[in-house]
Amino acid sequence: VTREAAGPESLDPRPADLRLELTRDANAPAVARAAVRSLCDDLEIGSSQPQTLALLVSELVSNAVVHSGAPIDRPVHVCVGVSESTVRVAVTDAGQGFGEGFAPAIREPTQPRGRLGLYLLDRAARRWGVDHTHGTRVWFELAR
Amino acid sequence: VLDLGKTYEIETAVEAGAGRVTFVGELDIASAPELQASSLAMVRDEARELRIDLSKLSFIDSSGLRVLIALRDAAAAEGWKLSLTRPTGEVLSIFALTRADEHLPFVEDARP
Repeated sequence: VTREAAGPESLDPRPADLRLELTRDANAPAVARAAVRSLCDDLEIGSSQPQTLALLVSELVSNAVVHSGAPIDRPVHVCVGVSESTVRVAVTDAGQGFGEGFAPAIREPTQPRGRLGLYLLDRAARRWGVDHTHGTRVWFELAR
Repeated sequence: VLDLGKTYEIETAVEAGAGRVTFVGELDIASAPELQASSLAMVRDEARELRIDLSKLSFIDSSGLRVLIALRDAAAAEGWKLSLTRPTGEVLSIFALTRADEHLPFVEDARP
């Protein structure tokens, strides 16, 4: 797994295959999962990836809902781009949830606290990263 | 924006002195607090033994895993017995990804 400070420019393809603006509440992860599953159906993305994609989208949107630090009325944006070989997802919120000098404190999942979501991201994504150019944007790539 | 309605159901029952919580649907930040509260209420008020039936779990993320781990720890600390009915299919791969399946008290469910 490769982790980078900022994703490639192509992470924000225009037009993206899916763009969502979500209200920052506890239902946002379920709404995002339903949308990416529907996209997988439409694009006939393989059988194991939709579950992994839904999982990682759920983790990043949950992080944005819980840890953003932005005013509650600022939405969470999800952007999904699909190429022949890759699915790219970026989740952006207006806060600074990861803070300066972010380093993932990855722990064994037997511990109830800690960044279990980032542990999952690190295990399952081909590459991922965080940038703070506009709020907090966390992105990842999966093989299609 | 999609209107999903409720993406989960939680049923509780007491059978022969043992509590049973059946979770149906998606376990995430919207549903994990209710599963935790329902489970803890059952062992506080009704039983010293709790089975959480996850056979109809359709999705789980770290919020859900964290609650299951917290319940396991509460059971150990408070001296009640927790067991989990294993989920099926794709959901099981999420447990395997975290290796949480090695640390949670899954049992085979003999019930039909």
